[in-house]
Amino acid sequence: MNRVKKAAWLGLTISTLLLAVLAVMSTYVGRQLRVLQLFGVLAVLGLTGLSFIILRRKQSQTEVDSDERDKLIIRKAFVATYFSLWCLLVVVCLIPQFVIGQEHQMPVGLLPLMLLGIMFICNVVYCFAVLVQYGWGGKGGEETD
Amino acid sequence: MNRTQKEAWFGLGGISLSLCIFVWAGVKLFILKTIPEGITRFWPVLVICVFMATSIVLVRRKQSPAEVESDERDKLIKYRAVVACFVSVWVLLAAATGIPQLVVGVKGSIPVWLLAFINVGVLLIALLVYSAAVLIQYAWGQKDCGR
Repeated sequence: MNRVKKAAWLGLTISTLLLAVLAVMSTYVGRQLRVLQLFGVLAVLGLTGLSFIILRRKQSQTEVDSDERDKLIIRKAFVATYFSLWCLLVVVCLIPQFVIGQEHQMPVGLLPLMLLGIMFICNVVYCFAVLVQYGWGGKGGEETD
Repeated sequence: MNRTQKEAWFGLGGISLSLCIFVWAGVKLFILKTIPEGITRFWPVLVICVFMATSIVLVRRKQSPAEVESDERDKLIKYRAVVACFVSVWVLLAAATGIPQLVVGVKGSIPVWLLAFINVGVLLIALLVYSAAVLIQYAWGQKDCGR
């Protein structure tokens, strides 16, 4: 398994886990704001640190960092993430309007949670797009690992 | 001038116009505290639509039959501009999350319609960054060719 694929699996696992934790913790909005913000910072730092440690370690001496095909896969996955970000921003605007109404107020503490949620979902989309593309390549017998 | 460059110029013009209208709407809503009513509130939409239609016609028209749609370099420039745009969106979203907390306090609240207003602002600035990034890269390219 090459570095891009490892990163995608790792990102998919951690982001899904963090999304689940975020969904549970969002029920505490208004009571544990500081704890939630601390969680967000720690989660992002932890995700970055863990990924860095695991990805630096090579499985074998012959493992290639990335080739042209990997770069193309990353590029396509990035574009998919970019478009999903805009879709998510539209959804984030619309959901509160339908749930609590346009004229009502919403707590400011919810904004960082929304941002974290968008960030984790974008990461899931990116990793998923990478893995799907490697899957398609595998069918043609061109799997890199 | 190729198609990507023309798109970027028209994008820059259109988005600057939209940003001006956006700032004007913000001043009316938050400083003058007036909500526009009647048919006059739709004039900015009309102006933007006319500008967009004109831009599409002019971008689609080729200046010469030999004009290339886009090559590898254009694709790379567009991709880099998308990366710049993506990074700017995150910076803007982080700012849009932090500023309301500073203004109304951590335990304060904001109206729901403000979310749409914030996101439209983020969209406009991000598109401005995209167009500017494309044009800057073309300018750098021309400078390199001139050397």
